[in-house]
Amino acid sequence: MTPAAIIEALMQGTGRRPLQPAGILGEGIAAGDDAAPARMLALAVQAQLHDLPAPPTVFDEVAAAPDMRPIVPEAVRPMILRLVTGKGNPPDDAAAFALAQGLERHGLRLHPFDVPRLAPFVRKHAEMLGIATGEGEGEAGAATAWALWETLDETNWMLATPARKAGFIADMRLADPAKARALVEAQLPLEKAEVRLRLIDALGAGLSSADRPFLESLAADRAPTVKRAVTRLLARLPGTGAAEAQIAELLSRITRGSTGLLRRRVTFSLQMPANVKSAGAEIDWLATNFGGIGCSALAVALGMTPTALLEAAHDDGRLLRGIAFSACAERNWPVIGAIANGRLPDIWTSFLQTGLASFGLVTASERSDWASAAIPERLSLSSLDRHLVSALHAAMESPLPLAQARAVFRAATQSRYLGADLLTAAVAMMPDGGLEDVRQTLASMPPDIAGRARLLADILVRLKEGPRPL
Amino acid sequence: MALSLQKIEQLAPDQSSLAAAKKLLKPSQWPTLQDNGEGLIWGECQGSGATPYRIAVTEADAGYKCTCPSRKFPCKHSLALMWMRADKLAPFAPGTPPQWVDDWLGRRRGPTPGAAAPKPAEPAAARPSIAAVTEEETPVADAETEARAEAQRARSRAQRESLIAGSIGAMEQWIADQLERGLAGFDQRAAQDCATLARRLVDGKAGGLANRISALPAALFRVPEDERPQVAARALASAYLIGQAYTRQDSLPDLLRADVRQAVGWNVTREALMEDAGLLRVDGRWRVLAARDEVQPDRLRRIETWLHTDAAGGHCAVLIDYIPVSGGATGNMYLPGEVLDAALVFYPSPVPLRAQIIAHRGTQAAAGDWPGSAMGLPEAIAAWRAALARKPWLDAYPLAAAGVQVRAAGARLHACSGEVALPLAAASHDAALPLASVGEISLFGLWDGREWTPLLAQTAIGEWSAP
Repeated sequence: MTPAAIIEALMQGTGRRPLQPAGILGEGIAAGDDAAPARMLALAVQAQLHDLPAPPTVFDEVAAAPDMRPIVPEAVRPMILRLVTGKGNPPDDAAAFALAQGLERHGLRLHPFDVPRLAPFVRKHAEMLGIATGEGEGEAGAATAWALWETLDETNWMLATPARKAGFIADMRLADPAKARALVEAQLPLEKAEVRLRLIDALGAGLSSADRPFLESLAADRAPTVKRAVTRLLARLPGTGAAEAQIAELLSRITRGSTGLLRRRVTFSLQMPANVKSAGAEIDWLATNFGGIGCSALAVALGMTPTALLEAAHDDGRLLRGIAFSACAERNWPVIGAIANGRLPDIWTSFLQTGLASFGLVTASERSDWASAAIPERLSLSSLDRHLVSALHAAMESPLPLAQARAVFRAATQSRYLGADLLTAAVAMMPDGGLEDVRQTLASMPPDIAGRARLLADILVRLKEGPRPL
Repeated sequence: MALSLQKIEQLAPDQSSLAAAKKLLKPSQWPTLQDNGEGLIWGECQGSGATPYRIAVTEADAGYKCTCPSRKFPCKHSLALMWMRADKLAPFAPGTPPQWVDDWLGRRRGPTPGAAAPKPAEPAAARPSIAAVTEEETPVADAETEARAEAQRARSRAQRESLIAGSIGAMEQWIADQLERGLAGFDQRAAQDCATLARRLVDGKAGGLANRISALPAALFRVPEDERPQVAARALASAYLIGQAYTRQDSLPDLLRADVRQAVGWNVTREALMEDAGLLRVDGRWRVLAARDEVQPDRLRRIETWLHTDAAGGHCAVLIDYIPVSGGATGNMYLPGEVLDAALVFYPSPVPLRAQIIAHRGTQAAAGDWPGSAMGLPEAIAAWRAALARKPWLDAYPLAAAGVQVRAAGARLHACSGEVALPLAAASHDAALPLASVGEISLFGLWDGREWTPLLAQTAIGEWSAP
């Protein structure tokens, strides 16, 4: 009997099919011996062990599309594992987000051997990491996805993820607005509301009156969010009925007055609708109504310059906020800067409530300009907490300008909510130029507060230094 | 703030901890004693486990961490390290904290500003005292008592032999019953039947066999359904072989006899290993290839540290520690890439793999990556076959081979070289998947005759180690 035949017989059971010792493996074993089945089992298993398992007849083919991006430096690998795996190191907080951004910014990829261990982090930031996470895609899928994103053009952009699509269109708008508009026009009917909204927001870059017919054709979009975005863009275009109606509505709510004994000066105050009561609802209303018109147009309607308008609205915080929103709509950074460095140093937090995209800030350079204007370099905010800093990080989608990042970090170290999460979130927004100083500051702080932030800073510095040689 | 003896007394959980710590004050028991010059000290101490325990202490707040499984906090190793520091009993070499110390520092909370110093709650008379330990006298051995104890031990051994013989008979009858009913449906009844037999084997003092049998249901359910009968056949065949070999142990060669006794459940004590000059001893620099742990059915965490040295023609060894699961997730894990400068003694076996450290001169980080194996896969398999012939119940065997390519075939990965294709363990599939796209590699893992569990690989893009 062969080993396979013996084991096959024992599968069914000797009670049903008695085993008759025979052949080499049955030598010396009596048929009636109670121990015969066990002895033959032992011999058959030993014989099978010496014969290796049969190899498969066919192997799967491996796709030959290697990911050519350099791998992270060797010394960074254990640091990355420490940062985003294990207890207390979430794969989706500000530090993890900053790590994914850093990898993308420097064109680096995770070491392939670390990807399985970093699975939660990879799933959360697959897009930035350039790794496809779908079933069965594996390494080959990752390489394909990366190659696609890296070489996005007008023939394949519609296959990318929503954020990449919007980024591609926003970039193209700065170079060739008409072509970008034509691409959006062709693609828009095929997209879901969420993607349509992103693409409409992307049109905010390089907006001109040439976009007006297309935008007006979208005013009846079935999704309310898309409709609002279209209205916002139309209101930014001079001469449209939407902008004029919006300004007229606001003028009806602005009351002119005067103050001063020796030198009378004009003052303005804003009357909010009676049904807008909470602070959050106030910001939403102001963003909706002021965010769609330019502050120059508003100032002209009130018969003064933007600078004089600021002076007149000085005592009304709500109106000042509204003017800041309208200044953002026309990218009037000096006006926002004047408000942030004067009466409302926390004006940037109001922008975060509705999101920067709702003001058409979709490109990295515009967001950077906004941050430079809206966040004072001498930020003094003792109530700064990790939620606020994380919201700023998420809105920026990239590091802050250096001066603002330093201001936020300094405010974080002085905040009454100082803790590991706040410090980590503040470091996550630091551009490369500020990391060395941050490391020195963190080195003098207790490890239970500064440990994770310091690890993040160390990683970002190493990523900046260069890739692992191939 | 420096450590003082008074502070150590305050920290000690009881008098016996201090007494135990005092026995560890010999510098020879501490192959590694280092400090960073900023109040952080760490060391390694050879305890009763297979691998040395690692202890780190911060002087400022007397924070401590030890990898031993003791449930006393601080344990005797931590107390001894503090004591040696406080009394300057040994020099501490300056150094930078290794990875395991850094990991601990990263996890721990620092000293709380303004926190009150620990207050002794117990009355002064009951407080642990170093002075009391120093005054202790060594008990004088009584020859008559010793003779009585030895006679008692001989009676116990004979009684245990008798119990084991009975339990092996019961196991063989159980195997015959299983074969009569058929292996095809064994997985359905394994949980209950194996538990019943395991209890009988525990009662019969055959703990090693009991562990094998009680681990079988879990092993069956870890593999696909169609492979379960083969796994069951393999496990029952091994158990039968061990039982038969034990029954006929007097006719076996010494090493095989010693091995089968360990397989059944007889322990070889550390002292016995040290005293037996005939056992294989290898002195050299041992590279940690892999460390893995699993929880056994008897609620012990089994920690394996696989080592390799080029000394004496090249040897593989495994240090095995057992830690109660109830003690928490503590472990004594060495990491791949560390190098132990040590002399090892191997447990008696025709395939000597399990070992104990007899002299430990320290642990360092390796200078570079694992250089890989010099052997091809066919030669490695030939070595395994020779080992299997010497020890038929061989379980996991350390297989290392160069020139291996990992390829996928359906849901399974295979390590291929020429005509040979060994299936990789299904449980390692996700972790090992990146190896399929890096070309030829040098692979180390544990081969059990059915599948190869990859643990370490040297590849064109660096070293891979199993998570």
